[in-house]
Amino acid sequence: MLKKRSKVVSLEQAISNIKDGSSVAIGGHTFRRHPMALVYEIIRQKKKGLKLLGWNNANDMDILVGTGCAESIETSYVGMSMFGLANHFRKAVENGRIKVNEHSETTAIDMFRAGSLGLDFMPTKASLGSDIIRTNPRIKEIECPFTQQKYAAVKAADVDVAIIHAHFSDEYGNIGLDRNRLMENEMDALIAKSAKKVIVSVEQIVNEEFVKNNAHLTFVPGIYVHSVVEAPYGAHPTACDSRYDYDLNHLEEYHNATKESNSFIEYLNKYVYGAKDHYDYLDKIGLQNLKKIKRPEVIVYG
Amino acid sequence: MGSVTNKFLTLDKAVSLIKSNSSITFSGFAHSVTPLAFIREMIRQKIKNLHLIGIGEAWAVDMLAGANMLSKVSLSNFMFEGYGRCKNFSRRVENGSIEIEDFSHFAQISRFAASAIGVPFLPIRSLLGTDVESSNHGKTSKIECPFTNETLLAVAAVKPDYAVIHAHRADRNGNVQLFGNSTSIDEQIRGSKTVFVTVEEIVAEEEISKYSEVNTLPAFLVDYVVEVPYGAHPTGMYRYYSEDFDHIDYYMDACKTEEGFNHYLKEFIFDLNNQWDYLQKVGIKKLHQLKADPYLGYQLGNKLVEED
Amino acid sequence: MQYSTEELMIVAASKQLKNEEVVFVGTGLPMLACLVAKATHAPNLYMLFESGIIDPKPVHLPKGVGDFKLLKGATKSTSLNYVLSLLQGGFIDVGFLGAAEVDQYGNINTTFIGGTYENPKLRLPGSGGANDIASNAKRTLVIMPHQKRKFKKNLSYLTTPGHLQGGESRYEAGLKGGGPSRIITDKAILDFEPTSKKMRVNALHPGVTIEEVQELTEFELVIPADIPTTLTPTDTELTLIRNIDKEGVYINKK
Repeated sequence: MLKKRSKVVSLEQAISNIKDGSSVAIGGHTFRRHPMALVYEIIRQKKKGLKLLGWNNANDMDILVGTGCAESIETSYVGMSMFGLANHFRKAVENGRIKVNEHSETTAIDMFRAGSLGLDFMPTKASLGSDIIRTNPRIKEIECPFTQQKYAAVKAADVDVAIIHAHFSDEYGNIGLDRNRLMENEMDALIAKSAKKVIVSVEQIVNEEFVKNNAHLTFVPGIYVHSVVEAPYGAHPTACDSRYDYDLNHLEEYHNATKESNSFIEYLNKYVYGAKDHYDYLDKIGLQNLKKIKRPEVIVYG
Repeated sequence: MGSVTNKFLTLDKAVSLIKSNSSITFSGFAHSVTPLAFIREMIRQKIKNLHLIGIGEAWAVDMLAGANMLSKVSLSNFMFEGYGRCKNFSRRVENGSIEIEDFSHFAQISRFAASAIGVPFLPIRSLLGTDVESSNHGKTSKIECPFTNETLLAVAAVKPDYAVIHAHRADRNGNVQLFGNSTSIDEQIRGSKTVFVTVEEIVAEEEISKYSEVNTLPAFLVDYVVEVPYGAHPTGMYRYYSEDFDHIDYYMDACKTEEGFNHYLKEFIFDLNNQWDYLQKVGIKKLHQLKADPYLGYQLGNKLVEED
Repeated sequence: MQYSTEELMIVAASKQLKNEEVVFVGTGLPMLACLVAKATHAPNLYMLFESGIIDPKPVHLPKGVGDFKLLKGATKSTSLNYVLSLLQGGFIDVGFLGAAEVDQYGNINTTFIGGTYENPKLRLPGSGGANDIASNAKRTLVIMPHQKRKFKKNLSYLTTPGHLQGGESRYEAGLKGGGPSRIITDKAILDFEPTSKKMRVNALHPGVTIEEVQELTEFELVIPADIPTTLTPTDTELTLIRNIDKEGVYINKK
């Protein structure tokens, strides 16, 4: 009897599937659940000309811009939240090095929502009358055929590869989130379903029976998924729901490193180029620091 | 019993409270649930002349015997499941440096149980007719039942000065929770004077009371709690992480000779400062490989499929 | 189908178990015997383990009674005290035992060999649950290799009671359990003569002679006139065993 094909691969192998010049959608929101292990590997493999898409991003896009991997960005926000502006992003835009298409969070999500449903566009009221609809070629004003009401039509995102980070998966790519989760996590499913190829990193690959017994926790079924990578703390330094909190010390360290090119190169040499794989990176962060952000007493959503 | 505010200690502070020349019991069964981080720190702090009272905690006895910290052992059975005898322990019994007394499992657990329920002995039926009856310095005695005149064996209560347990989690009040089988822990803690519990993690109060049917040790039975992630390594904790057989194989190999074991002590205890150093040496990749599967409660191994 | 000696022993042991009996078992060949019995003539056999695990349904073969694999599907996960209390309470029909040394009355030594108790030449693990099981189970089964250095005339130490000094000595000592019923070795099945309680040959494995068995035993065995041959394992039984122990952890495939 034939055995089902496992989709579990190494980090290196997963990212080798991304070609230069592809459009890459990144999951997560501000400092939460960005697939940082996957992002660092994109940098290690020196990908170029990537068209990045997201709906609210931070250090994930900033570091890809700073290392010259990105050609364009389309998301509602790229910033370092309480730490300040995303330095590489701002400099690259000010110097005309990267192209940006503006969005609100709703229009950004809607481009993925349309894609996930196989539609050419999604109608929304968001962005009407603003400079967003005026400057973004992906958003056009339309009239409702029934009520003649004005709407903004957001064109479906054209995503070659989606990269997201989730809690668990079986070896066949059925991706699950813990029962304790945030509603915003569901957006990652829209991102995944709008993509031609989906690469997912998860905190743990689990036995098939666990997924079957918890089918209601599956949020991206395996039919959508190309490859899965096991990467515990794969969102670090961003947070991962009730698994671990933000590593604010490390985010601050990153932000400070982006102020000058010397410090940035030092940062990259230590954490990205200097780490041969994800576990090497975690060893550099250190088990004690990883334990500090894991706080089961405090992080209990829902 | 310690008050709530003084209950939570760091590992080195907790271990510093264990005095030499005392009697002590540890949790442990096969290659699981052994407070090895605590034991390694005891070895580092060179506590001496301990009387270990045990049922089957092979890891505790073998490491402490090998580090020359035991003068007396009261036991039922010490064996490394799947590997054989405890070499360090056996060597020291054979060369006379450890004094022993033998019981069976039920005899020993009944001695703890007697202390736990505040009686000086319990009557049992094991050991009658065998040499074990006379191998324990008079801690067992044939008696005649005052009601039926049948012959029973009275086993004397035992109350070690310290019990050191490793468990899964605790809340801030010191309620401790174990998953899986509880082995001898329940009797050990109720039958000892001062109870130390090291736990993998501290969780919210509601988390513990959600599962009141699972084995919980109520806070009034626990004196001190120390948060020690991977505190049982290389033994395992059901539902949290499996046994580290690579490390265990290495240990067994080292124990073949005294020199080998001393080298192990130096490498994993004396050359390192604390549990964090030890875990850093084991490596995050290895620790993650041991992480239990949520369905199985243990981990089998490599999930990567070889590329064709 | 070709079979190994271990497989023969497992099947012989499984035939000793009756449906709905409660069995106190260790891992290794005894556990395989229970699993085979459960899959054939004894589907309602109850297994319990000294680690406090009752009625498990493992999906992977456990390597010891403390192996987490044994917790899967357990009806009850409790303590050592609980299961041993069941033993003394008379709830256990069969207990399995291993042995370093055994004598002609089925008494077992697992404490030391050579020297004295205070100064042993070779210190062994100790009783563990063995004494409790042998004292209290309604009957016990022993699985061990047949070697002269194991089948001794005089034990260095009597850890676990068989029939003590023979005759009624078990009863006189105050023991409630029935004592050893069968000893299954890689050469033969032994039982005990009903009155004297001396070890007796019950069956010889295919191809084994009575002379061979006596040669491997330091004391004189009771040898009946007619000795049957141990039944060969059926294909069904062998397939079952090999399915449970896929990697051949306990059985040596020849």
